[in-house]
Amino acid sequence: MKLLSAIILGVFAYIGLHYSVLRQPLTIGYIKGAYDFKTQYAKSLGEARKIVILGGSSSLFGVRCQVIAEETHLPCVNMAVTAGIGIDLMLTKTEGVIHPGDIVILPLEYDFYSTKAEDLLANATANTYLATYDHSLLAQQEWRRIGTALLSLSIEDVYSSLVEMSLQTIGVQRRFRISQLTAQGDMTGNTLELAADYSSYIASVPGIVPKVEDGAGLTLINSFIARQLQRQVHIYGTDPTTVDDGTNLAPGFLAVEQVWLQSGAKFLALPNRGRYPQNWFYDTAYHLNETGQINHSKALAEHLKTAEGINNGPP
Amino acid sequence: MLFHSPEFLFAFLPVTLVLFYALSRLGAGVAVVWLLVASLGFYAWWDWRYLGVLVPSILFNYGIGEAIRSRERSARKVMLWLGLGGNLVTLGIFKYGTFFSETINGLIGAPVIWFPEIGLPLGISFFTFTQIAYLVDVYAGKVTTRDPITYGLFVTYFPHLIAGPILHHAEMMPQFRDPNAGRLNWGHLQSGFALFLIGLFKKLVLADTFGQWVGPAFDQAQTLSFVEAWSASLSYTFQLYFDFSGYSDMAIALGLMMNVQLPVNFNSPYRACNIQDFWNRWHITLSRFLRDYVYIPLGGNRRGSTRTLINLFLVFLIGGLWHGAGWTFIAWGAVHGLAIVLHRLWRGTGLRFPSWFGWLATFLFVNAAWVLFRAESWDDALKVYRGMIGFSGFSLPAQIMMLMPPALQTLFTSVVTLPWISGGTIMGLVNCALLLMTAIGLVLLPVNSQGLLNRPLLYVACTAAFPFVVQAVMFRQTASTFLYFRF
Repeated sequence: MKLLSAIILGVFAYIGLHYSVLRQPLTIGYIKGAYDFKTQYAKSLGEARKIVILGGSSSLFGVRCQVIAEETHLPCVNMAVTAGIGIDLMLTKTEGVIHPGDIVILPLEYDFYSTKAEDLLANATANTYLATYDHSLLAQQEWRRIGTALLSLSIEDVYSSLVEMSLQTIGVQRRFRISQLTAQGDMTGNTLELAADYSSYIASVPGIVPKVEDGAGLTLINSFIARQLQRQVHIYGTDPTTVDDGTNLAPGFLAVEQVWLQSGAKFLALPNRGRYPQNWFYDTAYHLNETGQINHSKALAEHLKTAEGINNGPP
Repeated sequence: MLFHSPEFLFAFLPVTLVLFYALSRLGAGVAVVWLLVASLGFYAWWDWRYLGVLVPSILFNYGIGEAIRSRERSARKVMLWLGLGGNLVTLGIFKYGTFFSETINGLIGAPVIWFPEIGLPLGISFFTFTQIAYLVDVYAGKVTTRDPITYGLFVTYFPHLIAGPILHHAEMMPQFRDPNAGRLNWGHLQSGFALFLIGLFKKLVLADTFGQWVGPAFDQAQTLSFVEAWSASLSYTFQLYFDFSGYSDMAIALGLMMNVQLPVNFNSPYRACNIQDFWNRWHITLSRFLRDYVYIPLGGNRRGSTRTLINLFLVFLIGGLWHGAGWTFIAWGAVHGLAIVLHRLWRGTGLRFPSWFGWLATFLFVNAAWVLFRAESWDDALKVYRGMIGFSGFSLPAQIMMLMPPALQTLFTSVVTLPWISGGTIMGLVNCALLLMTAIGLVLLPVNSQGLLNRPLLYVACTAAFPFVVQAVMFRQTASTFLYFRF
């Protein structure tokens, strides 16, 4: 009886701490803040037709909506925050700001095309996000996901929370901050000068290979495409930005492209498939530096100008 | 079947316990047969073919034991040597054959000896040593129980079979035959489950968390900077302790659930203030075995001080070899043997260090020696040592250096990330430092898990441990085995 009481008390205390006390403001809190900021901008556009960028941090660092908006004369919102939150929550968080007639571009990180259901369930970032910062989204999840999120607090999370809460109290800020975002939600501050510190690290990182495998990730992408097409949204897949290490990735590119085409969506295939030299990147092999970001966005906008849906309303 | 696997927790353990208590009503003998069957099933779950080593080993040793008992003095000695030889040959074939053939081939520079690659049966070192002790004691006339089923259970008893504690027949066989052993004792059952939970916490939450930082640094990195090398070596020091003592807690807890008292294997070893004290607290049942069946037969301290020191050194050399067939294990045993010898000599001078210094020196020595124990090769060990000494540079991430006083900043080179510890993230590095500090605090606590038994504090510990254990089980990508399974 003593043991049972101890266990029950432990579970309640643990969930209570996770749900309402411990926070990770610099890492997980940033995700919530970034989504709120971007959603607010998207909503401020009302029912006006707009371009929406949906992806992980490669789109946050790799796409400048400012540039795309200037080139296409359509408002653009960069809804990309981080791939760490998982394809399921990423799609859900953005779907609410998409209206019929919008042009949605998804430069999804290649990992999402082979994500498995168990990866989604075990996603520590997503679970912590749900349990600590987005209780309304948590309530929309199925019971298994709710249980997983509430029981996702690891011993490392406890330390991270205590450290991040302390750092926030003394005013320490994260390397990437919401204040660095443009009004449209693009990341700035990823300058060439700062990128120099990371050059040797990027040189050591292996190349990224596109891969498509059946699983929860692919199912979610396909159903998202189907829903948007039904809502008369113009939906485009495209490649994320990656380091060009000379490897022949044609089969992987073809497989990714087929996902979109077979679902009835379009695919914006840039001539270089989003591959750039190492010195175009900032701190990881997925994140472009500012110069690379602007140039890549110009190339993307150039392609978009001729894309269906740019010059007209719902198809 | 791992103790933390769902098949053990939700199938094997409940079925074994329920049937044990149910069959005990029919008599202790029936319950013993059931536990023997269950233990063999537990062992066969890993790989049924290993029963082909375990069962003949039991039959051989029991047979030799009976032969020793029934013969005249001179014949008894022959039978004892036959038994010892049989056990050592078995161990030699399965555990050391490849090592010796590779060593000889390496020395000669040509493949003159070929030894087939055969798997290492789990727990072979444990069940072989257990039975050697049995034979020696039969020879000495110290064994009274002769029942073969009880003997079989003593060797195979599933809580200890794979990774100890190393049991002694005199403390186990009478317990299995105790008619009260099958009486349901709710107090024991509750304490057993609580201690099992503490063991799971040590293994799944602490050891496995440290473990994820150890592998990349030891096995994949080309060089390790100062902070990375110390983080890796300390992480392994705590991984090994929490892994093995967690396993021992679970084994003792399982015994307790069946009213069987298994010997304590750990007594806060990292609180030791000298190396002898450390060995009185670490893997106590192995130390006991080596003392009773190696050190004392070698002459112990009865043949003068020089021979005592040689005997001590030899015992640790054998202890190193027992752990693994590799030169790094032998070197690990040798450095511990040397440390024990130096400690003896130092003690003889009558001089004393302050206890805090003794603790620090012992802990740092043990930590440094574990590098040999963990490293897959000399090169890996040297890589870690070079880093710990500072030969591979003093680097820290710029974001951490920004928070340091300027005087300290001058000691380090600013880098973006330390790739070989904590997944290369800044927060991971901070977490690693904090968890290391927590671990030091835990191992220095005046009360350890054994001391918690029958105290209210045990249930307070369970309150904190249970949800984290559930979290670890739920989010485990792959089940991690216990480190001592390989021995």
